[in-house]
Amino acid sequence: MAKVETKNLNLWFKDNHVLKDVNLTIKENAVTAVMGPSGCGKSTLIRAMNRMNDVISGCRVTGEVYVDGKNVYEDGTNVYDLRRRVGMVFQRPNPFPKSIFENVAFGPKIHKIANGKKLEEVVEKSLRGAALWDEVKDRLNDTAFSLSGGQQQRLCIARALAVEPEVILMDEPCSALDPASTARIEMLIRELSEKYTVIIVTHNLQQAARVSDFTAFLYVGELIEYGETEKLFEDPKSELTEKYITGKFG
Amino acid sequence: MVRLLDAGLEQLTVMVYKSGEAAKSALNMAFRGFMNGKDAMDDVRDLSDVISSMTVEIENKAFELIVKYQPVASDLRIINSYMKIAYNFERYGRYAWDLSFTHKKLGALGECAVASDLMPKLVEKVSEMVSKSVEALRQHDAELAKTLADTEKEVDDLYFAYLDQLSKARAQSKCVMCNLLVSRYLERIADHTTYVGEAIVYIATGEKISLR
Amino acid sequence: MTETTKERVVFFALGVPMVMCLIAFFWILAILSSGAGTLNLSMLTTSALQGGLFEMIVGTIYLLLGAAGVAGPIGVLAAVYLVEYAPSGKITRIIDQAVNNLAGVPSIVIGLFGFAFFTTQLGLGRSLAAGWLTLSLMMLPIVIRGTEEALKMVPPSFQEASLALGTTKWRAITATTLPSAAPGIVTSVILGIARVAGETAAILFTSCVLITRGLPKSPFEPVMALAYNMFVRIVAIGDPAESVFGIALVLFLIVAVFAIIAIVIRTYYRKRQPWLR
Repeated sequence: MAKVETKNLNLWFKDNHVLKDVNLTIKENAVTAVMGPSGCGKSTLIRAMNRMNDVISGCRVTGEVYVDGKNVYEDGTNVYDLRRRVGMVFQRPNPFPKSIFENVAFGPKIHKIANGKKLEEVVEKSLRGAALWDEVKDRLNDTAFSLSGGQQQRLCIARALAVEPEVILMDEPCSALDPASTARIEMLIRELSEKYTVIIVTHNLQQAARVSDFTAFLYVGELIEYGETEKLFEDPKSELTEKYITGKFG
Repeated sequence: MVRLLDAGLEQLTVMVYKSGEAAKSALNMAFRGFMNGKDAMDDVRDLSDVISSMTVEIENKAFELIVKYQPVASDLRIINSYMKIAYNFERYGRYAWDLSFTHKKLGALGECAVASDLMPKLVEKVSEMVSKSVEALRQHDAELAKTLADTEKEVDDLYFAYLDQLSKARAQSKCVMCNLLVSRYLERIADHTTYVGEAIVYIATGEKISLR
Repeated sequence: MTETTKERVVFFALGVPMVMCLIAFFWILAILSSGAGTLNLSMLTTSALQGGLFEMIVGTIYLLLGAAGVAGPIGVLAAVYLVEYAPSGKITRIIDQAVNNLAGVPSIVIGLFGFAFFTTQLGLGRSLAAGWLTLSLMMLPIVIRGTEEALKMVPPSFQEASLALGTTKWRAITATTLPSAAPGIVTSVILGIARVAGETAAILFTSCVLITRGLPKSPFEPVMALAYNMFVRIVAIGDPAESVFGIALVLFLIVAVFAIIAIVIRTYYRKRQPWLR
């Protein structure tokens, strides 16, 4: 079952043709990795799924992106609800300059999902879902900046989980973290895929191999290959993919 | 683009190929001794020991490359296959020694090879397969490797025909015992060349096939 | 000359202007303190009718707070527009230039404008309200500039995170950017206050009189102010300069207090904004 699907997706930033005819299917409740060399458009691709590219001036899109069968670029789409359903975690952890509790409670308050006691439950559930609860349960009112980098990133994941998303987009979530934090988050990603659809952009081939069920290889804005991760890494169909993953070009 | 892995991969390739050449020599030595009724045991044993230690080195090298470079795709298939192939070459060497040992101890270095018309044919076919396997390795030639399947069939037929022949032998002689074992070794060597062939096909095409 | 010697020379040469400023500062302070003789604490609370400074002090404070109340919100909203919403282009550049120009207008010109427009045209007369509006024109560029800088220093990742959670842009600004920029905004408002605290020309025709009976009861009444009082005494009445040193000292102290508050606010909030390091 395809949770997210792009059809003939083309995207321009002013005159720059960043995504070229991308047709990609994302399976539900699985982890899909999007990999490719720098500048190939992988961040742009996932940002097209929650329309975060809209905030960049000069952005033009043709083609369709379907989430649960509905084209999100259709007129009249509620972009704010879309971004709630399709959450995002960024490369550098970016918690708000508020307390740990307030960070997680931010989303639910805005979308009026919960209040008062129910809000406390939502915050706890989200922090548990991000494998962070045990470490912060006694200091929910401390500022988010008192957490380590890896903890801050898990906080950002909890923050995204708090608004009850269906899809979680992750843009190189571990690239600013040390190996131990990275390992914890990778484990978390696998757990998350049981309930959510996860799409992760990564530079790190081994991470893509470790963490994902499916892998898409993007090169200069085009989708070169897509398939089950194990098969793609053992015996890629495209010569370009082979060259990229064996490091014969960066 | 040259990668850090490439130097190691080249070294590994050379090591495996050398091991193949050594295994081929060992077998040729053993075959010659057997066909001519000459004693080749000591030389073959020395060479077989060398091949064994080469196999250990090859495994170590392959592990080093895996740990350091986390290879994928064709690189991974090559390294994986080389380890398999090295093991099979070690088996070639081991059977070469078994053959010359059996010829000396059991067959008393008699002219057992020519006791039957089938035996020389068997030796020739197997020798051909061994050469092919080493050549196919050198070129990563999947097509050449695949032809081993046909020859393997011929070897199997010859083997069973010979067993049949032996079972009808009148006299119990040293050569009968020797040839019984030698024919078995030859059949096993043929099997091992097909394993090498399968590994070569996997390197080249990523397919896992059976050549028997 | 060796490199080390050159470095030393430069170090001291750079220190000279700083030293000169310090000397000037303390010199002024000394002059003003000589006027402390004419002051005593009771003057701060005694009405002017009895030789005290009460109405002048309160009047000055009324003027400053009111002007801040006008320039603050307008300035902040203008700055938010310029930084967050305005498309980069000709219009924005023109607005930017206009703000800069406003900062450079001489205060007497602003005072005359205030007199012509607020006092006369709008019929506010010589009043607190007219003073607020006129002074706010002088405060506006400072508040706008300061708020712009404060907004630009907030990491854009906060807004991005908020947007990714499904908020509107305005919500993202009010929930994340503005709270983070608040210390900087407050500081710039206070600096604006400090700037106009001593303004005489702007309030000359628009809001001040030499003496009132008690404090103004509505914004439409005129008010007494320290700066105005000093000016009139020396120019119109002909008192010797020394006699107003005391008043000058009080004004100086009021401005100093505002400046110190601004510094304290900035220092306190700096600690809670690790991204500024």
